[in-house]
Amino acid sequence: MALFVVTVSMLTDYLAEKLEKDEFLSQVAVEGELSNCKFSQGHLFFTLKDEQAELKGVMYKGRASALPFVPKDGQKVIVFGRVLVYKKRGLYQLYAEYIEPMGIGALYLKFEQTKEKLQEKGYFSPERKKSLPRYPETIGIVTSKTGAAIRDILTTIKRRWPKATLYLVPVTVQGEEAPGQIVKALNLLNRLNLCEVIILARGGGSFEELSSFNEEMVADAIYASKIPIVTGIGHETDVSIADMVADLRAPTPTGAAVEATPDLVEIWSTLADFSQRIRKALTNTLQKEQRSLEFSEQRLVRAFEKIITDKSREAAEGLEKLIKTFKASFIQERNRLKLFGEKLQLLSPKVRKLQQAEKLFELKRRLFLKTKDLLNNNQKDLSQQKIRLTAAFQKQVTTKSFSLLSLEEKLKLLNPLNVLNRGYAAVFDLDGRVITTTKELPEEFKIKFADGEALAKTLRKNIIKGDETDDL
Amino acid sequence: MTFEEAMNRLNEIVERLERGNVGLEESLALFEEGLELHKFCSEKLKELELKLVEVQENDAGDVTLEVIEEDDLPF
Repeated sequence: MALFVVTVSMLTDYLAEKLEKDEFLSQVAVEGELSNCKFSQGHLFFTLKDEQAELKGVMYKGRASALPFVPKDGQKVIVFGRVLVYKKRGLYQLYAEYIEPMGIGALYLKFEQTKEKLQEKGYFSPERKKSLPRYPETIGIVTSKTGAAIRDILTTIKRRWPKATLYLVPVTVQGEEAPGQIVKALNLLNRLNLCEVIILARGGGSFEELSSFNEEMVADAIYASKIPIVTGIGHETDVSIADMVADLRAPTPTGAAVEATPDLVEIWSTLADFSQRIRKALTNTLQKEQRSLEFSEQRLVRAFEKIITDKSREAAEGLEKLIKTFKASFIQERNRLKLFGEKLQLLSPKVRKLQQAEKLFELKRRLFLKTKDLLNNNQKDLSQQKIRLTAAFQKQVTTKSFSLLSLEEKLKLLNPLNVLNRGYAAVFDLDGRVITTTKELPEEFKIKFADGEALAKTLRKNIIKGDETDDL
Repeated sequence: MTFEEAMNRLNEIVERLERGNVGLEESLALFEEGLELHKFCSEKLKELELKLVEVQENDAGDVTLEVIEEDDLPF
C-alpha cells in the first residue's frame, strides 16, 4: 500500500477540521488548576492542569476583561469553551469563554481580591476615618427612593432628630448601573458640600444583590469623600467593601440613621443638666468667695482690736503715772501744812492767830503756784524746744546758702572767660588747644574774645626769647 | 455659630466651672456666656425643622433640589 504524502499544513488542516466538527469539543467544561496565567495585550493565556495532564488555554480580551475576578495561578477552576487547533504552533488548545472559580463563587473571589487590594492601599485603616458630627443640621442620604432602607432611615430620623434637613440622592442600589450611580451621588454631595454627614444604605439582599457595594469604584468614592460617611448595608451579617471603607459601619439602614443623629430627648435633658450644673458651679464659686471675704474681714477686725487695746493700755498707764505724781506732791504739802499747824499751836493765841493767818496765806499761795507750775512746765518745755529747733534749722540753712554764694563768687573769678572781660584775648589752634608761645603759633589760628572768636593768620613772628626768627 | 459648636462650647464651660479653679470675674463671665449659649441652643432646637429635599442631577450636570412635603412621603 503506497503512502499518500501530505504537507504539514495539509495534516494540520485535516486535524483542525476534525476538531472543529467534533460536537463534544465544541462545548466543554474542563476542570483543573490554573498555572502560567499571563495577560498579553489584554488576552489571557494559561495552562490548565491536573496530576496527569496539561492543557493550553487562551481567553480573548473581551471576555477576559469581563471576568469578575482575576484568574491566578493555583486557582481551581472550571473553564467553559471549545477545543481547537492552533495551526501555526501545531497545538490544540482550549478557547475559554468563561472561567468559574470552584468552591467559592466568582463574586466572592472578586470580593476577597478587592478587599486584599484595598487593605494594602490603606483604605480600611482606622487612622484615616473621619469622626461624625454630633448634631448634624444637614444629612445626605444615598439610597433607593423606594424600598425599606429609605423608609427605615426617615422614620428613625423623624423619631430621634426631627431637626435636620435631609438631602436624598436617589440611586439604583443593585444591577449594572448601581455602582456608577452611587459614585455619582457621593461625588455630587461632596461637590455641592450640601451636608455634614452622608448615610449610604441598602436594605437586605443576597450577596449578589449587595455586590454593587463591593465595587472598587464605590470604595474609591467613599475613600475620596470629604464628608464623613456612615453605611447601613443589608443585615448584621453582611459586611461589604463599602462598609469597610466607610468612616462608620452600622449593621442596617436604621442603625446608620441612629449613628448619624443625636436623640432630641437626650439633648433637651443634656441642656437642662447643663443649666443646673452651671448654676450650681457658680453658686459654689460665690460661696467660696464669700467665705474668704468673711475670713479677711474677721482678720481685719482682730488686727484693729489689738491696736486699739494696745493704745488704750498705754494711755491708761500714762494717766495713772500722772495721778500718782500729783498724789505724791499733795501728800508732801499736806504733811508740811500739818507740821506748821502743830507749831502754831505752841505760840500765843493772838500772835499765834496772826502768824497762823499769815502763814496760812503764804502756804496757800505757794500751793497755788506750785500746782500752776506743775501744769505749765510741760507745755513751756515743749514750746521752747520747738523754738530752739526752728532757730537751729534756720541757722543751718543760712550758713549753707552763704557758703554756696561765696563758692560761686570764687568760681566766677577763676573762670578764664572773665579775664577776657577785662580786655585780654586767648589764642587757640584750630583744634581748640591754647597757644601760649609764639613758637607754637601755626599759620592759621583762632582768637577768642569775651563775646566771640575770630579766625586769624600769622603774618610775622618775632620771638624775643629763643634763637629763631621766622619771617613769613 | 452652629448648634454643634454651641453645644461643645457650653459643655466646655460647664466643665471649666465645675473644676472650680477659676476666679470670680472669670466665673461670672463664663456663667453669662453659658446662659447665652443655653438660650441659643434652646432657641435653635425649637427653630430647626425636619425637611426632606430630593437632589437630582441630569446627564448635562444640572442639579435640581426639590423639597418633598411630609404628606407626599410614601409612609
